[in-house]
Amino acid sequence: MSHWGDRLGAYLDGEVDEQTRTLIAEHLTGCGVCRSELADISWARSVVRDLPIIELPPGIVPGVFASRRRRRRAFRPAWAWAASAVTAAALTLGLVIAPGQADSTFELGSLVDRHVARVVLDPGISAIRGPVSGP
Amino acid sequence: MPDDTIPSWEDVARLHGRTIYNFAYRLTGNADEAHDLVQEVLLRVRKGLQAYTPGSFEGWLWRITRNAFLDEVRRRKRRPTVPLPDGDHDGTGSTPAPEEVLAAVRLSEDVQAALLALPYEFREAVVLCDVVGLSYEDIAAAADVPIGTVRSRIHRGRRMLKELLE
Ligand SMILES: [Zn+2]
Repeated sequence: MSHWGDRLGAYLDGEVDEQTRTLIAEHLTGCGVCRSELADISWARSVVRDLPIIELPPGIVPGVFASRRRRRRAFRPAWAWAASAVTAAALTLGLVIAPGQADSTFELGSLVDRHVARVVLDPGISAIRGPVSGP
Repeated sequence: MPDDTIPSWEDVARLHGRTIYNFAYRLTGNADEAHDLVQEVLLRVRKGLQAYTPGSFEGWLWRITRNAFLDEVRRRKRRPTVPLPDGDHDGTGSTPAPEEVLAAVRLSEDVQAALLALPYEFREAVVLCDVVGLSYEDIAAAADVPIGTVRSRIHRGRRMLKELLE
């Protein structure tokens, strides 16, 4: 064999047997072509290995218990809880700021409800909008 | 994970969810697609675990992941594509970071762009090896190709990356 070619990558990855490893190591001491090739692919290997690990967006795993349509039902308790909490907050706010204007307060409440419901229902929103690179 | 135990679905989600997400993200450069893929893979794993017979769990899991990924790519080809984000990902602007942090971010974006420029087979082999950390044997099982093909793809993939990033 004149040069080791793609065995050099396997050599780097510990994917050659002991005998081949010894042969390659010996060959490298006297072959600039293989040394240069090894340096190149070793660099490429390390830049990929050094890519930051991206954390799983929160909520991604529970959502998989049901199909995408049924997932909405599975999230309903959380949605109902969040929505009623916001409604209560909005109503309290409304009562404090503008007592007697129950109608407008109600509208504000349901508007916020819908927004909160959407965010709670789709945990992927933060993943899509948030930074996609790791730290 | 010992080869004679069948992991629970929750174990798979807990132990491999993040790796599956990173696999898909590095292959597509797209958080939305990676998110959908993790959910799809875990659904398939949940169904498939009933029929799983102890053996190479990694090979089995990554074969499912790879097939789900390819199905997802085919499905999305029928929809408008989302352009790969460039620079500021959230579009809200960011405070200047130290030089070395910026340099590292630029390099990782360049590496991601170079990965995306590789033909699929090479990108997949490199990502399974260097992001997921699979052995050549498990990559061969996942991609259903001989081990010599895996070796060649990884080597050529890295060679192309080096040339693209020079
Ligand atoms: Zn040589």
